[in-house]
Amino acid sequence: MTTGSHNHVQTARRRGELVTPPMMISRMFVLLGGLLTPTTGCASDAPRVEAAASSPNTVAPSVESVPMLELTIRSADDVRTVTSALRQAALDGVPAATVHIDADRLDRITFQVGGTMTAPLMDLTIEGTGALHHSHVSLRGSRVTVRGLTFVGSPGTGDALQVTARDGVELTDLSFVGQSERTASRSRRRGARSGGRALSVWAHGPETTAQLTNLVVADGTVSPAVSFGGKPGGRFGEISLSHAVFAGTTAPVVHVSAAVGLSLDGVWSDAPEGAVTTVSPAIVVLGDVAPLSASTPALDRARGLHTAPEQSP
Amino acid sequence: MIGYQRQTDQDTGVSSYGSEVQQSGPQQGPGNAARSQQLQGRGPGNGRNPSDYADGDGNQTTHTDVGSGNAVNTPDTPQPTRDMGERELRPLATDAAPLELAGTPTVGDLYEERALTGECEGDWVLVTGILGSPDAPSLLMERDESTIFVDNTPTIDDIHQGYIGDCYFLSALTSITQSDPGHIRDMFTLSGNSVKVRMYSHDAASNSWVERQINVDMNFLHATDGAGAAGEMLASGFRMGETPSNARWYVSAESEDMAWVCSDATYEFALWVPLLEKAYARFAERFGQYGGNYSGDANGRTNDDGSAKSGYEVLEGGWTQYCFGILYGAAEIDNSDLSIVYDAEATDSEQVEANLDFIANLLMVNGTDVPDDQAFYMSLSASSYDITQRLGEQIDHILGLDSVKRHESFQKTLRWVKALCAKFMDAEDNGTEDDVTEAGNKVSDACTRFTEPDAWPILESGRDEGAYTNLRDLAQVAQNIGTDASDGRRLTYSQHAYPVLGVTLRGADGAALGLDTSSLQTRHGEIDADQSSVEFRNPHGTNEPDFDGAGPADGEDDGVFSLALSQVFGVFSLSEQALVQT
Repeated sequence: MTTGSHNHVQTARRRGELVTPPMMISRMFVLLGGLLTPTTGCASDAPRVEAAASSPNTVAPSVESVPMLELTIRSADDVRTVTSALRQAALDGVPAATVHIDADRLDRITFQVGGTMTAPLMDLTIEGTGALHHSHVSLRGSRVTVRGLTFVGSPGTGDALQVTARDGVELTDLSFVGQSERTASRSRRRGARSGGRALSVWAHGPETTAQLTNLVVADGTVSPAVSFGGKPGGRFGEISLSHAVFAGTTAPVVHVSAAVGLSLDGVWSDAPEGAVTTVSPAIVVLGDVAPLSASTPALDRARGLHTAPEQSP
Repeated sequence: MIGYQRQTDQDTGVSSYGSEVQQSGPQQGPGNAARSQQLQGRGPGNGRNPSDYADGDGNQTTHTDVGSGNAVNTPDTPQPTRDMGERELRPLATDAAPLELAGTPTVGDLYEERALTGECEGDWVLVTGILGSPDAPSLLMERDESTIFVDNTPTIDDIHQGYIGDCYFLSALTSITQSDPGHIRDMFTLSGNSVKVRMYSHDAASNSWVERQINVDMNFLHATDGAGAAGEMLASGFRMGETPSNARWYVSAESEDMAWVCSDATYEFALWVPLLEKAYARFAERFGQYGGNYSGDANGRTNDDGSAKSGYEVLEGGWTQYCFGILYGAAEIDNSDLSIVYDAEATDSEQVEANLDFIANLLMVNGTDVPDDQAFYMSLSASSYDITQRLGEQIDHILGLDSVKRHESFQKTLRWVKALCAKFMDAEDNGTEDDVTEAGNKVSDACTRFTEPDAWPILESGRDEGAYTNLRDLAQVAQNIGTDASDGRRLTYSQHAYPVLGVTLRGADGAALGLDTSSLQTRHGEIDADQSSVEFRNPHGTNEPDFDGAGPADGEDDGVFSLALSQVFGVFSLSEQALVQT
């Protein structure tokens, strides 16, 4: 199974060894007025890995330094500032950034990174343990990693999480509950759609890697709940989907329109018939979707968040 | 509907559907092998039309030809009548020997007249009057069958959405027509009464676009009356040339009767839009709404009972950004969407900062930082959900302002409308389609309280950073959520795609700033969102913003209009864009 070729930069990052360089830290503090704080690696003696900014994932890293940015969102008010910081960092050639969402719950936020086609691509990591209600997160980068978040309800526009990546996508420990498609049109003379899927993942490279692990998608009325597509010229290699639960959603729950193949490992759905569809038999699907007959702790947790009352603005 | 007959190409094993759909040269995409094949067989539909179907009102549709009366700009042709008493007239151009002339002849080119002589020798005829004149003849308008363009050039004025919900597609066509009209022209091959239209489907196995030639004829979708006769045209409207490309001029005169100045004129009809729409419907029947790509985002090709949909049903409602692949094939470089951020409590400068990527994309529509051999296209829309959510948040913001404190009846109305917005959003989240319709109608009705002329003077004030005018703008959009109101007051429609024609970023003094995407990052603080403007065209080709129901501000309702950038942030929530090689 193809799971992506993680190079040394990624390996180092997982160990928490990548740091924000002092120059970038000072710039960020000027930018953000101290609102946002680097969360790791301020010490100048921390191990560093340096990679060429123009091709961070292809040059063998040396142990020196890596210009990686770390930012934190603690409230909806931080979103605009963090977005600005990420935009500027990309223009400055910073190859990687991590955003920590340090909040139990955020309501109706729109968090978008890489919104122009001409902006340089960064490696992006978004992680947290909280719930984003009626929110839209759209990430466009070279490698995009999202961990730990729960998406509750549909945003007004777009999908709850939309990821476009050139090199690779890694989605881990994510839950989606209550996404439903917005009405396309009630007028014959209009016709613009507005989205509403739980998760859409887009390849923008010739063989973008995709690994999804520990996924819960529940109680949605939009089909498919999860979509894998290709931007012009883009296609996934083999998509790996492991340990996923689809409950109370409309089949098909997964649709693939641009990939060499899809590998399923431990995927359950209460609508297993036709749960996975592809545009072509040329997209090879390995593994099966098993019938889901009982609830799971992760499913219960997601559903519990869905029924929680909305916070006051 | 008849079923599909599946055909397999013996050389490649690639299967497809369709009769007149031909696959010509391959589109070389990344990692593709070149292929060539000719597909044969019969597909659904009637001859070279997509399948007829029952429209939203349950009426059956049909395809039939069109005439000048179907054009959106059919000339009004009143003929003046001149009572001559009894005079004698000698036609110089007759039906048998007409004057062939594209322009306007003089009277002397058409006839001579004289006082009554009582002799009427030769061709002289006694007449009592004359109907028509060279400037306003008795006109027979026919289609110039040699072209589907006016002046051989597609223009955005040609695009007039009909009753099919394909604004997203027509929005894409508007953008292409504005920046790359040669591409539109090159899509068509006219052959007698049929046209081949070049489109592209996507082959998943090779990850490449495959050229398709879609054959269509000159009959277009109409509603039928109870007896099955063709009624109103449902397909996109079309424009006809202002002047004839050629005409036969003559005078018809019989003794002791009125003489007629006649012109059998041939006009160019810009049929390329309804032809392309019909080709798209045929294409969608066979290859899907987005040509087999992005299928997870597309309408299916079958109904719940397994029967095939008409192509018109397949293309009902969609995304602009995914249309460029089927129109450009491998020449499409990129596409994306972006949410437009709106915060009721933010200042204009904060809105600008929150939307810098969007503004950078707007600049690219102007061609800024786009290579000469590329074009950047953009379309904006807003979901009804977003509009009601924003309206509710705007009301919340206003209820917290000191300036609203003494307006008790206004506050009461605000709270009422906010509650209706919340019910609409709840219906969208949890209700049935009927619930959504009912809740939307209530929001629409309620918002007229804000949009009636002189409803509350405070709504016209720029107080509190424009909080009240922003409320009025959102109410103008929300008042049409539950309706298809083409007449009356409006700003923009929700669930409707508007192509962006250009942007002008200005400072507080009104002077253009001349920013590019790079300098935007450091100089965005100079942008005055009220002074800056974005130009659009409604795919309807009409229905511009009209605050008081008296017509658009520029006096010409051709669909082209501008909004202040600060208004754009509020009334649009989604930007779709694409970059193509021209």
